[in-house]
Amino acid sequence: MSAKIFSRARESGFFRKWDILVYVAVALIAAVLLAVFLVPEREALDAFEVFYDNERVLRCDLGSGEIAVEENFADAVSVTEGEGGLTVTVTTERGTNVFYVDIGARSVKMTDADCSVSEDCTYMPALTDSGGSIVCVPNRIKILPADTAVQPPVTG
Amino acid sequence: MYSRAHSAIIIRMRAKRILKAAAAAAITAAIVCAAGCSYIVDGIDVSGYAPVALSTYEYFGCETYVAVYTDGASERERLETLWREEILPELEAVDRSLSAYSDPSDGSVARFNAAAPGETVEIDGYAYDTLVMCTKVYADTNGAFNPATARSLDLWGFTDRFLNGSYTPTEDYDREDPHTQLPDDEYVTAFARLAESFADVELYEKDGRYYAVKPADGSVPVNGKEYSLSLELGGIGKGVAADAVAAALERAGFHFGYVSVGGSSLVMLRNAARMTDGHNGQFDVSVVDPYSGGHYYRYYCSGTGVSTSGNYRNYYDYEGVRYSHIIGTDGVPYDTGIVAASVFGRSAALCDAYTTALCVLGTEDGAAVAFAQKLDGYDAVFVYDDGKSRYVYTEVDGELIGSGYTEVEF
Repeated sequence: MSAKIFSRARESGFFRKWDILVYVAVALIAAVLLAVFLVPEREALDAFEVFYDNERVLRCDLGSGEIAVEENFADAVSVTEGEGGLTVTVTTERGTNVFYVDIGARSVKMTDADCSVSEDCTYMPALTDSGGSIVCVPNRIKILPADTAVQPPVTG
Repeated sequence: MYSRAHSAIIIRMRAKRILKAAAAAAITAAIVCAAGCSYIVDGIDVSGYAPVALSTYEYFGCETYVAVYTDGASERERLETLWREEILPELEAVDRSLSAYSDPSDGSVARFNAAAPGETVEIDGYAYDTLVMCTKVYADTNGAFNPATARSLDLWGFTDRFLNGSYTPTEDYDREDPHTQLPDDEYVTAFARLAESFADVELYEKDGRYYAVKPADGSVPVNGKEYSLSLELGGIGKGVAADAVAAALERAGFHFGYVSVGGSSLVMLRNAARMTDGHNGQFDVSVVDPYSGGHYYRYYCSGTGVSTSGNYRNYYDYEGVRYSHIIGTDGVPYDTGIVAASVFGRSAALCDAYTTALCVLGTEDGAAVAFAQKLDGYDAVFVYDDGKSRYVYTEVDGELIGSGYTEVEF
């Protein structure tokens, strides 16, 4: 009896076959969870919002192509429908900004502004995912992915 | 009955089971923690912290954006009160103090600029501290960072009157179209010489008040008119503001979040959303690609200032040459091939000044690399374009994410 136990104990390593499977499964779950948290979320752009001086002007849903304009800005926004996209013009007391919404590509790009000589905002890349922004400082217009709680920090 | 050897084997087996259980528990705990269990930092549970974003466009001609992670409605209210009653007034005070365009009766730098050569002017603490930093960086960079290039900036068309669309020729050196008609050489060289007299600016404190003395020979004559030394602190001002806002937040007990002044200067505190996922509270800071407008570099950091300068903002191209708002030691917009530079370190103000210096120093004789290596506690990354290839020089622990670059570590 004692010899049997002694022999079994010797044969059993720290990890038995089933133990190893369990540990591999646990490690896989951990890896998946960590990957979810570690990899920055940059999802496709589903919707975006336009702000004037930090007040929301409109929200555009790229899935349906619907634009919901805030009551305060009803007279400030005009929309022209084109082939595959929308041209949106926002006019405030500081100036006019025009941006093109590409529904198919799920992107928005500032195309024209009367903000300054250099018109920096029109050279900013199109907003295509959940991690970017377009800002026109002189006209205080900002385009953000919808429901952005914190703008990702960017230097440049 | 078991023998002693037999008992030892059973104890070893139990120990193995205990070890296995402990290992499983540790892994489970790690998973649970990664999934967002409570996380205590300095005695505070930050797992329930939610972000609050505040922003203003009123100062420095840019957006000042603050994101703060905090807990509960009362803390949010306290933050908003701090923003309204302390941070906005401080931003206003820094802007008024450091802006060359303030009313001289209000602003320290404007008052200095309006003073006659040899005159002593009283300045406030913001201007004094900033000018002390300027004199140090000016000396450390042999004048590559020079805050006294206001005349040259105006000559080349980079001051407010050109940017806001109100430009009409008023100065003797003005042209009808300053972006297609280059200035006369005599003004370029005279204003470059004038800027050198920044080395002779005296600063002192007496009885708790601060003073700056404009050098007696701090003027140059051109075509019968005297031009006196003038400061333009655009190369450091946003960094000063970012540091001031971050300090106000920390003083009030808000230790999680970040501050951005126009994107060119930031202070990263800690990231409450990234305390439990292996990031140790760091932010992913993306650096703007000077060519595509996207991002070319990503840096992971917390508890640090960040600043970026380059020739891809506030510039014009004429006959194939880029003229930007950073003036070289020869009085001409710099053209060293360094198109963008970022510095990471404790003070955003110093980061700001160092990025300007790196752009002006350039890569000739390894000047920029040698300077960056000399900086204690500050790391740099910059883009160099030799006209054929584009290089990213880096000493920071980040990730090249832009395309078309060759990475050079130093």
